Amino acid sequence: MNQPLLSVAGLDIARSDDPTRRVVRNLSFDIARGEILAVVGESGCGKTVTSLALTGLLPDGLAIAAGTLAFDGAPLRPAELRGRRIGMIFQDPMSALNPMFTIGDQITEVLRAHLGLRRAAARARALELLALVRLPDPARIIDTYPTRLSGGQRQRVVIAIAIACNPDLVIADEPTTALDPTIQAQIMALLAGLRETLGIAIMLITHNLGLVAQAADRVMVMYAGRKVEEAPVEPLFARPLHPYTRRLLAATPHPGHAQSRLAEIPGLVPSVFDLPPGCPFAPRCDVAEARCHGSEPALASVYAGHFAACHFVAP
Amino acid sequence: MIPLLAIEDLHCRFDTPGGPLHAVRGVSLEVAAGETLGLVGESGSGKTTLAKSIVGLVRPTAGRILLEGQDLATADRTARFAARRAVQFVFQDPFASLNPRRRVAQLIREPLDVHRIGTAAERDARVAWLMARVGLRPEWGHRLPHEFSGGQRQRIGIARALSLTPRLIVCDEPVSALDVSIQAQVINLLADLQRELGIAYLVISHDLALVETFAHRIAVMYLGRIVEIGPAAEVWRQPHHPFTRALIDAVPVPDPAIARLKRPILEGDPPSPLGTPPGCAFAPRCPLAVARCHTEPPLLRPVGEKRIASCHLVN
Amino acid sequence: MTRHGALWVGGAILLAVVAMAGLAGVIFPEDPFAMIDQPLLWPGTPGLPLGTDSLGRDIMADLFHGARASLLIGLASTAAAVGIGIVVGALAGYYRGLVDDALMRLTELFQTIPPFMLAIVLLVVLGTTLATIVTAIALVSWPAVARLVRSEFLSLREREFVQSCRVIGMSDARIILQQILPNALAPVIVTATVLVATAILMEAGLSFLGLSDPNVMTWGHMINMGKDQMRQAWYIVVIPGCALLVTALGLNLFGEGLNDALNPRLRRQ
Repeated sequence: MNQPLLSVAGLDIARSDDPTRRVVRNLSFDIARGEILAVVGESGCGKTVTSLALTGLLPDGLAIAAGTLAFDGAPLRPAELRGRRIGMIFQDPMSALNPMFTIGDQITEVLRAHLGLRRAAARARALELLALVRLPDPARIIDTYPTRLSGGQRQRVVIAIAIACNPDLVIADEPTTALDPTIQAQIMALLAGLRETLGIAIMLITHNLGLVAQAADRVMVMYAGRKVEEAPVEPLFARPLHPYTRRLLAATPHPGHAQSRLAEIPGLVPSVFDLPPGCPFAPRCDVAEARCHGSEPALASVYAGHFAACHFVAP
Repeated sequence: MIPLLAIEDLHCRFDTPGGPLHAVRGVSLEVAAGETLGLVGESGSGKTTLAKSIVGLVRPTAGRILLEGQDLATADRTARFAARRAVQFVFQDPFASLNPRRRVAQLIREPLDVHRIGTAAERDARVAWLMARVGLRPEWGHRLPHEFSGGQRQRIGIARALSLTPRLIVCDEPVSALDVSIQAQVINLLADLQRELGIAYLVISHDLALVETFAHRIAVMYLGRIVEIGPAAEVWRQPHHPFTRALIDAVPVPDPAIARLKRPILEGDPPSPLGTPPGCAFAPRCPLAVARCHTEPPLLRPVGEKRIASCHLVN
Repeated sequence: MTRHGALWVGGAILLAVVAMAGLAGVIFPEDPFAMIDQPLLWPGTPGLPLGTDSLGRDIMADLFHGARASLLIGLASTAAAVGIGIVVGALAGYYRGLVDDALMRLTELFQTIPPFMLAIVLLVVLGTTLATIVTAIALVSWPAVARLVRSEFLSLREREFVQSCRVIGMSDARIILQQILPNALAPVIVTATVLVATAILMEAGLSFLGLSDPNVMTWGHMINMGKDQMRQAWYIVVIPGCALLVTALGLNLFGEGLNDALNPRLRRQ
């Protein structure tokens, strides 16, 4: 198999004053060129923190405590790659754009800073990018301010900035959560199209399993700072191995099927600083038995490419 | 039979710096006792304004709101005050809708204090019962809202709405701020309360998939008007209005086999409530629009037995 | 300075001033206006650590009694200004519309006249007693509080938790007093500490012009008494001047520290 584009091995993210207080524990995963990897989990499971570590944007008080990160065969240097070979798309497009500058200013700034383009060339490329993200009338939009655009249009601008320097990887953190469903469908179609035409790999962080089913090639499920399951998308939905994945799927509305009740997951996601002994999911798990409360299961390869961390599926 | 809630030709218009904003443009609908009506639409469709006008947070500019046949606008002060008890509201954001400086027991007790229901001891007992009923430990009563998770805060909001034993609870995006597993908990709680206490719900949501699994009937709003109403399963199976069709197509189904089928994507953005298109409001985005749609606004007409839709192309 | 530093230093200064005011009657039981020794004795004279003024009064005793009066004037006028400001600001911000227009025109009327000039005019009309001085300072200080409270109310009234109280039918009075006001109070408290300092300084300024209660010993009165001997006995002016400066600094530091401590966004970090 080819060398992965991004390779994360044994990543620990912890509080900088106390490396034993970890928010992400022993996380390893790869992303291949042109692949869409979905990272799934509830708030507080560590998916956003992981993406911030990859882009060197961890908040004060958190730091990478262990692990190796490699990008395109070389050690990952976030500050050099960010904005250039790794693009970013955030949940709230309004806060990602500066309301005081025109759309054109914000795109050309990236182009001039990273690619050293001159003003005219940068503007021509910006127009090209706006057309690429299928904004209507780029020549008009380039000189408008973000507040004049709709939420969906703003997210298209954010995507244009993210792909401005022909990145190899785009990290999209809940890119459609703040948008209307009809606009969500537009943006997901746009992202999928960019992968097809430009070969960009996408790390899609989401809690929406519907989006995962629609767009992802592979899925990584996280719970309490750990990877609990990883598989290509079809087997993950067809035969989820980890009880958390199963219950997450059952809790997602399946419209059109007469459901009298959604299957809920009882209890709350535990705090990563106050994990229960054994498997962190055991207190909420419907099949947990004594050993689940006793020891934390290791991540095991169950089928080819399908991993899960659960005592019940260990080979 | 008199419906629990009847809205007749309701209009809400605001003066804004950008011109008159006609948020609700002649809405008529009914909610029967003990039923759940899901109201879906994009942002700017007027669904939240409609919801707020029912509980008196927004004053309609025209039309009537009848609670059990009684017009609230013409009712006297005492009748209006009494009506407050019958209709309650659950807010979208469980972080913003609770006073950060009030203790949980105080928050749940406030409605009882305002309406002078029972003695002090009876109110305390009711608060304890309510907390237990929505899944909160009564001994948490002295805590402040920030000590709870999002799902727990939404339970506090529900307990507060429930304290006056309302006949109708208007829920504005009650779970859109919550994680998937917690969404299911809250939706199931609402369903259980309905079965037990016979409460009717008007649920405002942009998430058609969620509404379909939970509501008895669905009403679809577009640019201030209802464009379709019908039983939930039937609307999902066979939508009459092209916008309803587009909303259904935009739902990402959590099943890769279905989700990856190529489905038409609705282009364009939700229209601005500041403008008034001459014909059908949906015509500029409608894939099926014919010449007539751009000039003549369609009327809401019965389609079959229990359904209505406003589209020139239906029958 | 770190926020804790500002709070502690400011608090320590305030505590010292309050102690001076509280102990004035204990340490110096006699009338501060009493002439106890020769005039113009320099600080360091045995038994008179801060010397005497031109009338032979103990400056140390005057300083302690002055702390009492200055603090009283500062606190009383600020309390009155905050009271008026909250009522005006809360009504204007909560009801908006015509109520807001009327109350804000009134506020602007007071703000267009320079506060010090207005205070002088008021005192000339009302006469100079402790009560009129407090009234005059309060009347020129409340507009700032009213504007602050109004802006807090304007934003808080739109918050969902206030809407949620309307839905249950809560009365306006209860929403204003029980729900919104406690959430609006933090910046008002911060402003109030600064207002105390402003009031003390304004009283001193008025005294300097002779607009003081002749029967009450204040730091401003002391400066006024000493201004004619500035050349030969500058300490008579400098000692109460320093007391004013340090107190005003202490109040400002304390206010700044409170602002950070009460600001929930900073507190969470």
